[in-house]
Amino acid sequence: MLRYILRRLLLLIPTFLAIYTLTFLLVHATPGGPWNYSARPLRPEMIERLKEKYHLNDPLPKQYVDYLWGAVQGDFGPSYRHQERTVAQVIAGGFPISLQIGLAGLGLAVVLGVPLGIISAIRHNSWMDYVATFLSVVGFATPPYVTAVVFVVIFALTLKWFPTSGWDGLFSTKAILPVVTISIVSTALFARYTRASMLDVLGEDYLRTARAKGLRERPVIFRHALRNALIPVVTVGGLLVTETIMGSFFVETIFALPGMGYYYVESVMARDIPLIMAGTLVYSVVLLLLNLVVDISYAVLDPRVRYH
Amino acid sequence: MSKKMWFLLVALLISMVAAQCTGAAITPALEKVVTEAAKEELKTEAAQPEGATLVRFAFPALPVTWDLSLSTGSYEYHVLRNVYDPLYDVDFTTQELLPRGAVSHDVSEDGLVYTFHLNPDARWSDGKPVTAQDYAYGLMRLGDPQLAAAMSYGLDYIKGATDYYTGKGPASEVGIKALDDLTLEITLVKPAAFYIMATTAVWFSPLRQDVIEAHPDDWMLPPNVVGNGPYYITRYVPDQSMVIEKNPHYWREHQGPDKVEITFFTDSAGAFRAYEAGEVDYAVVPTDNIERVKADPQMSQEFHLAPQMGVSWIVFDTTNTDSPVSDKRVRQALSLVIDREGLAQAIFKGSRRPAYHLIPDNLWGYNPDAGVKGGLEEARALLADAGYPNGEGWPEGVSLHSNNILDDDFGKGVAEALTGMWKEKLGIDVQVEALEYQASEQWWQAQVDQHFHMFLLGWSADYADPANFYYDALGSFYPQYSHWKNEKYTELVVDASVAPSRQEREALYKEASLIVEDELPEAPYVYRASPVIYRTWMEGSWLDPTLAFAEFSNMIVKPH
Repeated sequence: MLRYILRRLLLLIPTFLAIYTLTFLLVHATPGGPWNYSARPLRPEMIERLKEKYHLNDPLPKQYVDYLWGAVQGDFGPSYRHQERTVAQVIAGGFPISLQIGLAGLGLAVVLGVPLGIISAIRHNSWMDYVATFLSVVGFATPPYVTAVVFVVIFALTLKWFPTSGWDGLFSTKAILPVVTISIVSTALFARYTRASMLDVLGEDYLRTARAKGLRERPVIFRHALRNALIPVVTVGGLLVTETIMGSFFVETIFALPGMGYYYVESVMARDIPLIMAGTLVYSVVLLLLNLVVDISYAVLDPRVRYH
Repeated sequence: MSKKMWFLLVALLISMVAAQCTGAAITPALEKVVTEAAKEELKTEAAQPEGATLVRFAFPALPVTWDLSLSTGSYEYHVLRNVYDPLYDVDFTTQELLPRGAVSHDVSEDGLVYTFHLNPDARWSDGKPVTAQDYAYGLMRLGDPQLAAAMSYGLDYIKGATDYYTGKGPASEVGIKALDDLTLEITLVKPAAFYIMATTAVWFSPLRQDVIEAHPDDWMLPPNVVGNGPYYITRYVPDQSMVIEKNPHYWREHQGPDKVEITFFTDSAGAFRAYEAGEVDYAVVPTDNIERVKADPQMSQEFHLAPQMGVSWIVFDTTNTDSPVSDKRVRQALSLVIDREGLAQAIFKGSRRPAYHLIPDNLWGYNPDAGVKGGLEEARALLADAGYPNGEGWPEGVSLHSNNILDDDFGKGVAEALTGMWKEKLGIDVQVEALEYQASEQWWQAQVDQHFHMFLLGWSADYADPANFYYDALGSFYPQYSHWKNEKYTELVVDASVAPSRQEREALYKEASLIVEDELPEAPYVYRASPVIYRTWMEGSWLDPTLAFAEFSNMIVKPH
């Protein structure tokens, strides 16, 4: 197992280089630059000076090496779009926000979705099951930007129970609507997976034995069935973590949350090259490491899985 | 089960902690701003007297920079115009000059040397007096070739400035000198009767060299920032909010709000929702909400179409002999059949006004008689004259470039509406080339020395003088995308720049407009305006008429 982990960690390096190279090429091949001319006309000489200031006139291989060398030392360069901060500061500001909302949303999804799935499975084909399934499908199929706007209009604009937008930290009224919005798709997924997995497990022979032994229903479910039913759910959860911490551009835009999801998409639209590069690299690190954690936890949970 | 569950929980926690640690490790500077600013907040919040007036403002986009020399954005001007005072201001209703940094000025006989006598009562927000050296430093920094500021073209009329900011000439040759603490001398490259209006621009403001040199990275943010304007910045949370309060050392009494809290939104829809929820007191109304706002009994009273001095137009390549638009009759025909009212209503939902002339109608020097008159008949006759009767013989591949945003002034909605009108009324095919926003910005900038057919662009006033349109935008002063040059026109607008009286200037401009509106290197379609909504208790004339940014010191806050 240890050798497996070490090998995976070492493989991260060529993976990063490949991602960096691909992103670098894509960014420099995309038409359009960071400067907006329609607001104020820029003389051609000024554009040249701006390019020189940001080293965009250097030959591409030099830019490739310079940026990588800087990034390795923690200097991700200046942001073209957010000019009072360095790219590192932008990411350091945005990442925790997306992370907190994403993880809180996921936590909520587990707390709501898993019990929903269990109830659906136990009361299979009852009205509770149908309602839960219906809600899951709706939750999964509705895009987050629709849910977000609907929530804002109903709960913030009309009922005025919550503020419409902004960020005051995770434990404030402003965080409630975004966290709930983020959690909806994950809740639906958890509910569906838990239900399916529970239904599978509930038909197993060893449960029949347990019941035959005289065990009451509750310990049958919670002590025996659940721990096996949850294995696929944990896998899904691991995959969802990687998705949710990236931050949803739509949710962050609608709720005016200055998170990584917003900054990253906006950096591409604004051609903020250092931020695009750094954002891609940071996401890659996090995603690859998290994938590793998920894979390892899968091995820990299921003794049948072995890594070499 | 518990061991595995624990393992998972621990793994999750480790990832969270790791992410937080990385964040904390690389943000010492970010935290400093917020912590310092938080201290500042406690200090100033406690000092608020009872009944202090508060206005909650909103930006429909995140700010780019608070560095006055680097800023080009009208949203940041809502703050910068209030934190820094230029030499003069203009009364929005009477167009009179109002003293701000300067109380008076002299102009030399030859019209080249302007001597400004500064206000001895003017103070920075830290109490220090505002000096001519501060103004000189602010202007020179705008032109600093190392900074490569986009607004450096604002210095173009000053001797030696263009060479300086393009890196070709030394700072010592620039005609900006502080003769003493209260006298600033500016030497122009040629006489310009309107030049005093240019000194009302946001960038004609002083900056503090000592503060900038002491804090090269964050001089523009609290607690370091100092301003000489009616307000100063007391709190800033990056990309979230900013607070500005009345400058206690400002020399002039005004009735503006004591405190303005600004929230930054990521888009205009979010800002407008906050307005509707009562969380902010001002917002820009997104196009698709305009009809609903106008129909609502409360909001229709709060809605204002804030005028700007700006025109959106179609730029033609007048020298492209491969294109039909090089013939002025074609340009006139294309312009005559545009249904400008329909365009303003359909694409902009009434948030723009139809433009039949190249000069905004709220600027003097406007000539209502200029330009080709007529309707469909005349247009068809012109097109036939030019060799394309009923559109026959019209070449393939004539294109109209725009950006890809539907309700943008230079966007796809307008482009498709125009080509639709041309097809329907003249029988000609023009292809819409709608490029992604940044790509289209880069594309049209490249047209300065390329051939093209047509694209959508416009011009917004830098200062309220017709020279900014007739000479700067339409004449040969800036790179001319239309590649149009007319000697008689240039002669007229140059003469108008130096003519001694306003009547003479106006007459010359009107004569010049007869030429440019006949030749039509650009065909106007709408006048710029800002559809804004704000509370009825925010009274006074506080929205600047050139770019619709806020001058809070002009606002009168009624009890509410």
